[in-house]
Amino acid sequence: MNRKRNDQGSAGFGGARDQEPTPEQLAAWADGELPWPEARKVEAWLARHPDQAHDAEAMRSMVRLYRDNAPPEPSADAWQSALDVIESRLAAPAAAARPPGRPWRLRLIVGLIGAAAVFGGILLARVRAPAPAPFPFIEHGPGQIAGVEDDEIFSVASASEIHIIRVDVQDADRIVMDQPLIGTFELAAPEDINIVKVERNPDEGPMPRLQRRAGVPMIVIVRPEEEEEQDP
Amino acid sequence: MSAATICPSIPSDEELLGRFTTGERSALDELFRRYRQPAYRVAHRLLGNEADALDAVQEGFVKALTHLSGFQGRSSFKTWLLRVVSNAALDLGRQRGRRETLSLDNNLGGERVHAQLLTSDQAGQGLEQADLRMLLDLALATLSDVQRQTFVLYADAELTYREIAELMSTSIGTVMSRLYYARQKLRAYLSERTVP
Repeated sequence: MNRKRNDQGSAGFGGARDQEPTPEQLAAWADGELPWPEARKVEAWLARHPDQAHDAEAMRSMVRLYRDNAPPEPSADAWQSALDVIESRLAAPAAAARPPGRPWRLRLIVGLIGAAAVFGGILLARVRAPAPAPFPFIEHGPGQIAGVEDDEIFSVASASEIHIIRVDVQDADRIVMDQPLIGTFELAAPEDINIVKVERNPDEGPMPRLQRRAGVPMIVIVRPEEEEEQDP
Repeated sequence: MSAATICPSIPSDEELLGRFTTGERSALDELFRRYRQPAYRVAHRLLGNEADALDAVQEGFVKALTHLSGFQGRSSFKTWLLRVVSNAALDLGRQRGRRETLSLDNNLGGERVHAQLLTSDQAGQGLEQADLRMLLDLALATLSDVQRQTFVLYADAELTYREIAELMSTSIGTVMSRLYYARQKLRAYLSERTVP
């Protein structure tokens, strides 16, 4: 399917009488996944351009090719063996919750953090350094920041924008390791961040500009933009 | 529509999950029997071999059932399970370097597969069908992770666009786009390696 994309993208489809659907819409129509008002428009367009029907068929046939050549099924013994493993792992919930190797790594991370904390505490006591000055920005109370209501909670990242690379041990049971986040998750305590500025975006609500407090470890990595939507 | 609304004697997923949480072993057996095939197909497509695919299926069932609190009925159990299985498969694939192995085009030796194979009428062509499956796997390996996951969830697990969007925490428009470009890439790859 190499048809030229219409200039208005999917939003523009259906405006002018002969405006062609986008390739993505045609593929979705071939899959039977286009809502009926749009599907009807595609059908009307195809009726006027029957030579384009092969594009839709090519999309459909690629899926059929994979479905017709599904991987061979495991034997009955292999299925039973897999079920036995699942049952045995579920019978030992603590071990089942994490894949092999992870408890060791988790313990190492917790151990290192603990050791660092103890070592840091000893150093601090010996040096008898004065307590660090309070972070100047946390004195901002609710309502003092323009554009933010009292106790307002807002998202700073969507689930698809972050990878969790470490979780404090007290939070270990709150998420499924290696899985996308479900619902909301607190990435930092209020005292860990400084809200520099808040702009209220009419589409997305408050959009804060954040600054991490010095010494707070980085715990998230922002994924790069996905590229496939920009393919020709 | 769940099976229970069609035939009262067939328990719904929700009933089975409830029985599973009370420790009823047969409920797990039934859930496994019900969803092992789509889970395995997805995992096999993402990993390319039976042993790794079964590992991913095991991992997926264990994680999905261990973390039912994360599921909380927001989607169907099938969608939840396939989300966990496909992520486990991608993770396993990264750990075991599947893409590097497949990129060698091993077993095909660079030979072109006859285009006649690209039809659904392949009875009696066991060895050639194995080659074709390998070729299809190699084509999948050229896609990005999200494209492969999206395509496999649609083609092999037969999820709808909406279910895939829920599963991958993205929009239906993004699913539509990923599926389109995935098929474009697959088509380009396969057309280069088949002869008329």
